[in-house]
Amino acid sequence: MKDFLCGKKFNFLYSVLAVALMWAAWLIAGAVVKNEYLVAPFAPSAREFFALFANAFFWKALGRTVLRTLAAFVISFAAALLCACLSSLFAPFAHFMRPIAALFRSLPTMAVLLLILVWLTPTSAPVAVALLVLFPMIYSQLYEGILGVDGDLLQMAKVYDFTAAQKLAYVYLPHIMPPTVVNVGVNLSFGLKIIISAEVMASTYTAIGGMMSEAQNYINLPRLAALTLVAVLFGIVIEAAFSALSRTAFKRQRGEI
Amino acid sequence: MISIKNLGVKYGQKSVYEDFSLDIEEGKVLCVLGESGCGKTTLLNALSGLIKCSGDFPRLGCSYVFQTPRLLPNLTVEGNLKIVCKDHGRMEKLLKATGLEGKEGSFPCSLSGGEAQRVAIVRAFLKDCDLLLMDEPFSSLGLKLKISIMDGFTKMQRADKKTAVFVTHDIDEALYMADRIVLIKSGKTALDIPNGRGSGYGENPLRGQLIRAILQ
Repeated sequence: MKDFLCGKKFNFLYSVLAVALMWAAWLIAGAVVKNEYLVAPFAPSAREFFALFANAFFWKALGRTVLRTLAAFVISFAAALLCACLSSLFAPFAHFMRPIAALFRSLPTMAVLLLILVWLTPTSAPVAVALLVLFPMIYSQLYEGILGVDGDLLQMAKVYDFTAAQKLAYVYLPHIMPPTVVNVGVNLSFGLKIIISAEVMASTYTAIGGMMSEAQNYINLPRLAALTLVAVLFGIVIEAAFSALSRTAFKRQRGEI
Repeated sequence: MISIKNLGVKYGQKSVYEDFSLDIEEGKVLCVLGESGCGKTTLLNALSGLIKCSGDFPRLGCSYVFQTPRLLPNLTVEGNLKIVCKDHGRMEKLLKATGLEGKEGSFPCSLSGGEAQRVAIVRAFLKDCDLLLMDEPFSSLGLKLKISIMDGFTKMQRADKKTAVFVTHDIDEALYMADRIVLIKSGKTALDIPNGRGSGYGENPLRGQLIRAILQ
């Protein structure tokens, strides 16, 4: 029985079941509470969800939110990569970075956003907040990745006089790339959540968060639910795409493709 | 002759070698024999420059066959060998000599343990070097495969006249492969004997003498 239930052919079915359960929980909550100002009713939310895609402003807002997420991610990734490389090359730099990364990690995001809003505009403040959150995460992932490179292969590379470029291409990158690609998806998805939260707090105009903030002000729960669903779906798509890319990278590394 | 004089290696406060000296005859195979933990791998790592050491010996260009093949997993056999030597003709010749012809396009994950170790040996032979170092490269292989790979090695070593230092704790491997055997105990030379490579595997008359020296 256990073997039957654990068969690979059911994996997709279990995911569908989980989605159906969450949907059922929403419907049940709506039916029990019976107050559309507390729990967004499903049918109007679904209508709002599909109506969003015909709304030009929504696309503009989504584009801006995605651009902010990408900007925050690219800047944090570049900075984290530079710092991780320097940390792995010079131990004193790693010690220098430790308290900085720890401080950034423990910053209370929303409190920092309120401070940053004093200095920056509502359009740029979410990027700054996401940067502060993403940088220490990506730095730790990359630094641990570099430190985890197979020491045996590095010895072999030394004995066989590999150039720095050869070491990078054949020893470091194949080890670091697959988990990094997975993490890019996770970090982008997480960055999107941070950006949207910050946009809500900052009431950023032309942004998914800004639209959510507006929907909340007018107690338009179906629209709020529809926008939340968009954010969730977008995050899932990003993670799934990078997870698939990573599987390809792993297979390439093992020489299976 | 490659002379190593007053070699000193320390791991923290622990001294593995102190004033250790060894002569390596060029074009021959020297086997360093010893029990596990006596410093055999340390000696090879010192000679190859992988660890810091003191002493008077020339800095040598080395090839190294490690205990495990240490092939790059994302490159084919040919890719792994091309990094070391671009001479395709020589690569093909050595692959043929080790029974690996047709495996050029295979990735390490699709090779058996013996095949991967043979690729590692071919890689070591392809590098233009003064000294070939081998760290128990046959220890994980079955007897039949071990003898076949050792025969392949001997063939290539004799053809190229490579100078090789080969460490093992297996007396029969040492007697089968080496022109000279040095037994190491606690970082010192306990026995240094010449060896003819004519005997079959496990049939060398020096076997008894070596066993007694190890047990002493």
